[in-house]
Amino acid sequence: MFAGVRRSSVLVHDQIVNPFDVRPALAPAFSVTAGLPLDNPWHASAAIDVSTSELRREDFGGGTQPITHLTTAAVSVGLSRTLKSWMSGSLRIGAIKYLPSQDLGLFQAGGPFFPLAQIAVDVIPPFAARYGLALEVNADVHKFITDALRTEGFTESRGVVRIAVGVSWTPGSHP
Amino acid sequence: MSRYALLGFALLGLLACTTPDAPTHTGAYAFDSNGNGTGNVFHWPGDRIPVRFWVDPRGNMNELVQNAIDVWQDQLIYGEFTGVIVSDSAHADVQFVWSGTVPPTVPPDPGPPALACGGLTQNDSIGADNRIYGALHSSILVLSGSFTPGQVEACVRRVAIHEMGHTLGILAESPDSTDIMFATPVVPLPGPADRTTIQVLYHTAATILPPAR
Repeated sequence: MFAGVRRSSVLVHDQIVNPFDVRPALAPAFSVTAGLPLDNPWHASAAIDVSTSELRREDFGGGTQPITHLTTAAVSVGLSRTLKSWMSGSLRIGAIKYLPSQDLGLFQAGGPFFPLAQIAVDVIPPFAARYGLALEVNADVHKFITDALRTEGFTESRGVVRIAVGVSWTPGSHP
Repeated sequence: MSRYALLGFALLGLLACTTPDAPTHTGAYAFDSNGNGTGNVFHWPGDRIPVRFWVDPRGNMNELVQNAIDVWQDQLIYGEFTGVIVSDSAHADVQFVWSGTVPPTVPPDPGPPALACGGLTQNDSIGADNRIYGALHSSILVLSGSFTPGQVEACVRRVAIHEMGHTLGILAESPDSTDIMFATPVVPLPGPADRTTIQVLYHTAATILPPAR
């Protein structure tokens, strides 16, 4: 299990009179991962990840304007392995679904979903190992566009990177 | 950190490096009170969203105004405007009423547009502090003539969207009959120029403040 905070890169950059960006605010992030041992040191893993925050417009002049509340849910499968005695890594692929609180504006046609690739690194400090705790950094990438953006004149999707930092906990016996 | 992890993060960064160009937002017509770029500019500021509408309970005014709200919300995709219908006229920012007879609720005629109705949007006054006093008032009037109920319904739908455009801050009329903000609207929905105009308006500094709440 993982709990942390997530920062997303810009979903949309546009200019109407003045330039502005659209991006989710810093969001709490939670995920649950299940692992299946393969040949040592590999594990198969599957994860469900959720984060939720306000989607907002950020004007280059410094002002912000909320657009809607946005939740994302991602499901992914992949491989994990021990990299060092104190570090493990995972590489997963899956899909991310955007779930706006209202089908409005940017999301007037509902929340789209996109393929996603994710990498995660867990660092296990000695003092935390006995509790099954680790510090985790994970990053994922996907392409983003909506029907409303296409109507607006965007022809290409935009690459979006999300980075989350937090604490993971693995249940079971620990050294 | 392991070189594998660094390599993985770098690959994700490369995958994400697509940065599409922003579309051009051109083709807006004048939206200020003089209709030539020299007049007052008004729009609802972010801290007044959602704008509160009160509607005449007679006929299908509620449906007409909700449709008009939805139509304009769809033109503004970055959270610039949302609207909500409220039951208390004393706490409304905008009031929509019938002026004169209330038409029957029937399906709109899909045929050529008939100028079977008109509309008007007004504010009480603007103070020395450049603030509007009182709610904005929009009214829809069914004109006399040999129009079918369906033609009247199609007309009041167009005019409700047109008057909603005025309440949102398009203070002038479009010179183009393909726009919903043409003085006597004949198209059922906002066109590309209407869309660009409302977008540019909501990203332009206003010179008039909304009524105090």
